[in-house]
Amino acid sequence: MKIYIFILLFIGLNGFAQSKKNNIKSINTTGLSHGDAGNYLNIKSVNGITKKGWFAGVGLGIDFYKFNSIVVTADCRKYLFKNNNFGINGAAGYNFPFANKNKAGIVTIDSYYSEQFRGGLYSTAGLFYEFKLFKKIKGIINPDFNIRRLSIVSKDVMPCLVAPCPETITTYSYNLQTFSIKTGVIF
Amino acid sequence: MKKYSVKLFVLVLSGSFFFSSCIKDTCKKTKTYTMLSPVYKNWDEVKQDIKSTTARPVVHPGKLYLKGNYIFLNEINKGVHIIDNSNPAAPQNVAFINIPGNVDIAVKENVLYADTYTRLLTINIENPLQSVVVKTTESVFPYRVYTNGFYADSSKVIVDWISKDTTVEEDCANPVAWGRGVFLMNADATKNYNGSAVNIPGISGSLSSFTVTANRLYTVDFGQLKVFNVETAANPTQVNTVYTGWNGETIFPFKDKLFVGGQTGMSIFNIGNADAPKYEGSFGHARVCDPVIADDKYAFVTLWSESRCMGNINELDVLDISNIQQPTLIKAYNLKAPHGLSKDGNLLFICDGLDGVKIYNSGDVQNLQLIKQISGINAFEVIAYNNTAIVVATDGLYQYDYSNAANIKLLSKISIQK
Repeated sequence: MKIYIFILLFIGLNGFAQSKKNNIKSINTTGLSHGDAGNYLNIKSVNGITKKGWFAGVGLGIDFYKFNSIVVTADCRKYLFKNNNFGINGAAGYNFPFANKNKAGIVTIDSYYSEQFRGGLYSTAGLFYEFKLFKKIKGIINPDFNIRRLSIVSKDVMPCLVAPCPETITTYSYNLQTFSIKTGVIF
Repeated sequence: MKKYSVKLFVLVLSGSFFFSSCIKDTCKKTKTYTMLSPVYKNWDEVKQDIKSTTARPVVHPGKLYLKGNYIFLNEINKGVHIIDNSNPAAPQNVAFINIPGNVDIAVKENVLYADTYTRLLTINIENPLQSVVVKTTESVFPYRVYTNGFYADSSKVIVDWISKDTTVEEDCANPVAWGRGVFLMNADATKNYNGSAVNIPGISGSLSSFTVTANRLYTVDFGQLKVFNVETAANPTQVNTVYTGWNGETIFPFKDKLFVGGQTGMSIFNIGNADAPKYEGSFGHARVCDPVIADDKYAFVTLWSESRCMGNINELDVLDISNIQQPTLIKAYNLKAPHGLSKDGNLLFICDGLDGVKIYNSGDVQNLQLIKQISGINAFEVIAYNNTAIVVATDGLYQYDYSNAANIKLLSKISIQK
């Protein structure tokens, strides 16, 4: 819950602060990530500066695809036309898994088993189209392709009465690929 | 320009949808496990090697037994360390008795009882540096499993394992993690010991499955409680076998009672007739490991759920045993990974895994008061006696002075060789 409140604050405060400066933008989107595992929600807020047809900013979001992750990225956008409504975007950063207890679905022959999620690289490339929504607020449609890497390190302990018992360490390294369509607002 | 942008965007978006079906998640599984190959020897060869050697470092400590001025510390599957504890502030590791397959011990007078896979050995330890096997009792522990399906053999024993860490990579497609900690492959101070020198009785740890009381040696293994007459210490004679139920595996004597801890419950036996333990009552619980200790009124049972014990409970159960036929739960206290426990007066010592050792005032069992927590060690067995708590942890054998409960002090540590 704290994470959601933090992200909402991040979106709101930046939007409020930056709406008064026309070279500063806050891009706030929600979307649907589609991949092998199905369709999952994503939320992201990117805040940065536009200059000479470029935008550079820092993004913070949540990706629920297969496993929950907080995503922190460096974002870059290039407007392809002078009217600044269409362009390409890319982002690279790190994802931090959270609240994934029992989501790995790894089955063991007994219940003495522990798993630890580890984050990994996160990258995005896509297109965007911005359109006027209200006087000072724009809308955005942003289809993009995402690669998210994370791993689960599981520990399975051999039966024994007296600790320490021998262990098997298994690392599951995931490379999750999704196609996502995001929509949102720009302050 | 705007129309052109929209058209281009829609075109690319459509293309993206078309290619979205091509994206795939991938998962690679890297498993690191220990592959073990048993090293066999004939029993006759093994028997010749069961003798004292000079002291050796503690590597994998197991169960604990306190007798006289000596600590007997099991080195899992290897033998027994004999530690002269005349001065708890400076214990001396004086000898090691090589006993392959040994996991449990008990001592009476100058005799050490030790299991070696399926057999029970009687070893004269009058001189710890020149111990002598005086009797071998066959097939006392017929169900003793080496590990992962290897059972004891009447002519051969596994004296060692050759271990090799192996890492394999595979696809995650098979989600079943059948691999366990170990995979197996087939392959062919000279000082007289005097147990009665000081008035410390033989005390076993709560994880022990051997105990000596009332001139009897009791062993529990896979639900079988075996009784040996040890009036003549050097000549144990099996007199009875009683089935404990609950897959009994730990044993604790108190006055004329034996408390047997099992994976799904605790049973109480009356040993008024020492040769014929009589079932009196039990307390069932979920499947976990449960060492037990007791006093006149209460039994203290730690339930832990790691390892083979399964379950998902980690707690201390305090039972009212005033009606021995019907022990009742008074209160359960949540703990992290409670293992061995010990009690001296109102002081209750609980080894709580990575939380270290917790010392409670158990004067009011409805409201145990935590007096002290010894952190920074992964403790699993403790014997508290005569103001000294001997703690076995994964990194060493610790001793604490608890003569002043408000100021429990570390006396010494014998470190484990990494």
